[in-house]
Amino acid sequence: MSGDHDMVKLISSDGHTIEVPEDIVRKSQTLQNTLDDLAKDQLENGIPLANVTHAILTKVVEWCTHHKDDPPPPEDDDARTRRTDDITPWDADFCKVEQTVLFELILAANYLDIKGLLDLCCKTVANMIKGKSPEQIRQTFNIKNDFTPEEEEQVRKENEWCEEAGSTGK
Amino acid sequence: MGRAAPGASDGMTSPANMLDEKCWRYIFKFLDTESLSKVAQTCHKWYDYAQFPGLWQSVELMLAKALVVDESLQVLGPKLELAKDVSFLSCRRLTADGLISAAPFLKNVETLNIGGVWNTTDAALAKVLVHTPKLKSLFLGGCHLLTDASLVSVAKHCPALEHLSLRFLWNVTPAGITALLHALPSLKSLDVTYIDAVDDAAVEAISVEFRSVELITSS
Repeated sequence: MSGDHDMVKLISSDGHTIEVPEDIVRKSQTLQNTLDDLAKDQLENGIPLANVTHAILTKVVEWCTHHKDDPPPPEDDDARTRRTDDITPWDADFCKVEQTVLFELILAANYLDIKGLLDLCCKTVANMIKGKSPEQIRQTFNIKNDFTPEEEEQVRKENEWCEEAGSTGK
Repeated sequence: MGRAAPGASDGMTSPANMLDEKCWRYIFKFLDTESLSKVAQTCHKWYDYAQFPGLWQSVELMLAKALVVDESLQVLGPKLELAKDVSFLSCRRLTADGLISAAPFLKNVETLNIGGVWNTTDAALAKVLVHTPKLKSLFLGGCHLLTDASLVSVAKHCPALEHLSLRFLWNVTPAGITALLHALPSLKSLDVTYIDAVDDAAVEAISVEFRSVELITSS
């Protein structure tokens, strides 16, 4: 056993090792299980994270550090808890990154099982969708419209029940 | 969740391809009904993702601005089958017949809001409630055509009801409310705001007789 007992070595997919306090690492359910399953000497060489790059891991650790004293997020996912307007200024700032980074964070939060971070990033993406027209959503995410004109009309009709009056030229 | 192969064959070069269906469904879970319908109109892939039943547990039809007319419900109906929470709030263009046509799809609904659907009649509501045995919360505010006859229907068809709002139901009487409360001991709260006939004296009498019910009043 070398160094501080409370530090854990994490190895990113691109080969960088960082040392992170154990209580921060335990914000990840996945890593918590790893810590509990492995003996101390098995952790000596660090925990390899096959799916997380150094840049993303640094962001994840930054988030976990800021949120280290948060209570565990509620498990229940009632449909009524879909609000996305409860993002704190710090978290909103944290999510001001390129879309690819945001998606990488979602993948990392999912892989590491950090529900608070996963929800934050997914709410941020949801907020990028809200209030937009289909065409604006396509532009936001660079999505190709692969509907034929006939299909597009059919799909529009299917969704007419929530169109704003007048917006469809009807 | 894996990643889509780079340069997936559907021609989408979007970063959106980094996330798989499960991820996108998790994101879409945070969308309101209107946004979800916009997502379904962007491309084939997202159209398919948006059909996932779990996303349709809470369906909120848009406010008075909406073109929610009866035909729309024929398309929407099957999606409502999985919904536990359905709101038709202020869908004023919905007719009594339109509401009845939606009723068979509401069998899993626990919270139903038809507040402000002002074409609703006693007969229509009775036909709807036949299909909603699991109902726990019912909002009827502003459906001013409704009378005590609707309270009889509620008592008959909603044995599990816990919350009921009768706001602005001008034609409802204290006698009707008393009969309802006798028939529905499970009821926990009752909103009788802005019902002229239910004055302070009536509220006092009801609250003395039914201590277990929380009465919501304007005073």
